[in-house]
Amino acid sequence: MKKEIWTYLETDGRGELLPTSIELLARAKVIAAAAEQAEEEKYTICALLAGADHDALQNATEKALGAGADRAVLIEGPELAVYRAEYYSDAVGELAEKEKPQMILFERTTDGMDLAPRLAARLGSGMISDCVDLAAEDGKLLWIRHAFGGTAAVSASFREQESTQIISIRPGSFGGMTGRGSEAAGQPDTERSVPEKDGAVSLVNYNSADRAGRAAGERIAAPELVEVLEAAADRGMDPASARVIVAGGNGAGPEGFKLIEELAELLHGAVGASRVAVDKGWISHAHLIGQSGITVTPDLYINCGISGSVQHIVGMRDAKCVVSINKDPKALIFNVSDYGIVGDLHKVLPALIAEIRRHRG
Amino acid sequence: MNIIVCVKQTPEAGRGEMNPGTGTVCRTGQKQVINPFDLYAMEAALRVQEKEPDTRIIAVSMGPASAASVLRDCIGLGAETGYLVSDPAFEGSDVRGTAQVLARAVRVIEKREGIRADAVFCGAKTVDGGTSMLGPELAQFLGVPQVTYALHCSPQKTQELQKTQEMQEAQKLQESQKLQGGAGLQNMPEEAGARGIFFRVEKEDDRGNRIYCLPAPCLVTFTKASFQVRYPLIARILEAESMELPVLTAEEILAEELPGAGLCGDNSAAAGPGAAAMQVQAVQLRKLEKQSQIIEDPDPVKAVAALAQRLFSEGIL
Ligand SMILES: Cc1cc2nc3c(=O)[nH]c(=O)nc-3n(C[C@H](O)[C@H](O)[C@H](O)COP(=O)(O)OP(=O)(O)OC[C@H]3O[C@@H](n4cnc5c(N)ncnc54)[C@H](O)[C@@H]3O)c2cc1C
Repeated sequence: MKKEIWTYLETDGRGELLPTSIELLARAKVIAAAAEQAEEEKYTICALLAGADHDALQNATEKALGAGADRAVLIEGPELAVYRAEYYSDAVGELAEKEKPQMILFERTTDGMDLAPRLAARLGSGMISDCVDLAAEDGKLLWIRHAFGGTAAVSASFREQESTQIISIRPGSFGGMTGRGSEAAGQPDTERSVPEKDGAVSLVNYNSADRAGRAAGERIAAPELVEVLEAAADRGMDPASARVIVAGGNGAGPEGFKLIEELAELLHGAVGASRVAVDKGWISHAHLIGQSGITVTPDLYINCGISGSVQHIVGMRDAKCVVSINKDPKALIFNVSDYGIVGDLHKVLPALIAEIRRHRG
Repeated sequence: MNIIVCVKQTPEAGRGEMNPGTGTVCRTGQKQVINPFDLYAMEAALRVQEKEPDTRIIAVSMGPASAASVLRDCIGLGAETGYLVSDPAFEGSDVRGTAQVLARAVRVIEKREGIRADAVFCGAKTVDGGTSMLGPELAQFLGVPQVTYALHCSPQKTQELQKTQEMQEAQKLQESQKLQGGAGLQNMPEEAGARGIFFRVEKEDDRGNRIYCLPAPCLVTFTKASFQVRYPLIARILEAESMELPVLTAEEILAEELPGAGLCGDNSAAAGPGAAAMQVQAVQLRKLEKQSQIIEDPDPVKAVAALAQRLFSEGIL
């Protein structure tokens, strides 16, 4: 096994790295430091980029090298024009089999969740998903994830050191190793100058038909993307790594969401939502908190008109401070709140906004 | 059309109770129900059946003997039968082991029923482990294409159906987004979809939901959609109670070759803790209680003032 950590990076299609991918490079450094300490071996961080557009890939590579990668591997091929797990897992799998990196990291994004497990199966590898932290013990890395709706923390290690380990990481988490919360882990050093080293970038061409062992004419079956629907209203900042979130539910309605947005803006925070609010089209899925959305760990989580179903709570119970506004004094959400106001959000929110403005002068 | 739906029995509240000594999950004392996401997979299969009445729906679950109850739930909803994959040798399997066992189970069911599965449906995640890994791993071991986190899935008999306005729009979209190469429907691999069966699948996606044309055989995992899943029929529940459900044991499962997983590095791994890729070191219940301070004041301005004062003084705001 090569002591390398590959990071699967995603772009906007025009060569800009997604913020989650820049975060992932920063996490890779924390993980490399932990692994180096545990194993007393030097680790290299390698950016992994796949696509069909050569210029866009080159551009993203520069960005990745600037954001902390020691080297980069580009996989280029016409079949990789649009993301599809079938081709991507084959392309990355083929290369990983050859190069044998110790780890491949994924951010738990829509594509990351789709690709990482398929790749793990392709390689016959073990995988740990949705990691929130890591620790070192007896020269081994322990990966920590939450299970049972966040009520339990599981720490596990890979039994097989002789196969590539697949790890997916929860956005906005991590940093326990530095003991300073996720700010420490989340700061990319974009300042770093791009190394001019020879061999820092390697380019691999991919064509599924070229694969040895695949019968002539045999092609990989994959879905075809036929349409991208328009997303519902995207209300600003991504809640995944926000320090403050103001969330709304069924009790909020479209009018309530205007107030929620106003308060979020005032607090430099992001907007979150319950499943009902997303299903009713008041806000896009990117803002969904809970079992079928994302899990968040902000310093402050203000929620309005959310009843507190188990499916919602699992996504926000790790917020440092939870403030709930609900007109029903028996609402379950109050059980997981630090503070609560029983009242109509349409009256409470304007008063809260006014009070904060007044306090700030 | 034949659809195999994979379901799992999970604790109702999704909460973990641990055996303090062993660190394994304690299944007693908590109500066990069908994993809620799996109900959406079951519902999707039933909706396919509404459009294609000769569709056969077969449920499968890997777990202890008690997991037969979730299979009976599926039968109550409209599945024809349910296979229980159960053997002490499978206990303690991790996701990789489970996916390999289920992939073989799909092959065994195909043989026993004399069918070819056109689609395998699963929940997008479970409420206990919550890894979201099973679906894509199973798809890889079966060697079939996948769509994960789907909301809707409807059958489309021939590729012709696709060549409609929708396809022209897709082409326009590809041009406008500079999606070149293998993206067009005209590039559909010949073998893929050789059965003439396609599914139109809507995947939930932050960047706007995606519509895929997915050739059978395939695998789809389902997330929660905005519709209500149906209730079981009383008559079917009663029928399910008295049905004998086929059980697949390790002997039969492990005798099954997995040619579809030819791409997988290690095709020989059996299930059980010995074959697990991960070694669980510790499972700890997390302390999550809050000291709630709830303000009840009919005057919202006063209530807010009381709240804000605390938040300001604690430096939260
Ligand atoms: C498989 C599955 C996955 C799911 N995933 C998620 C998930 O990821 N996230 C999620 O949130 N849910 C999820 N759900 C849905 C979940 O079960 C609940 O249905 C949902 O969370 C309820 O949303 P809500 O609290 O906004 O609405 P409701 O339960 O309808 O609650 C509305 C609340 O607003 C209060 N209210 C009404 N009007 C006012 C007012 N004027 N002022 C103040 N308060 C008011 C009411 O008292 C009530 O408490 C999932 C369900 C399933 C089955």
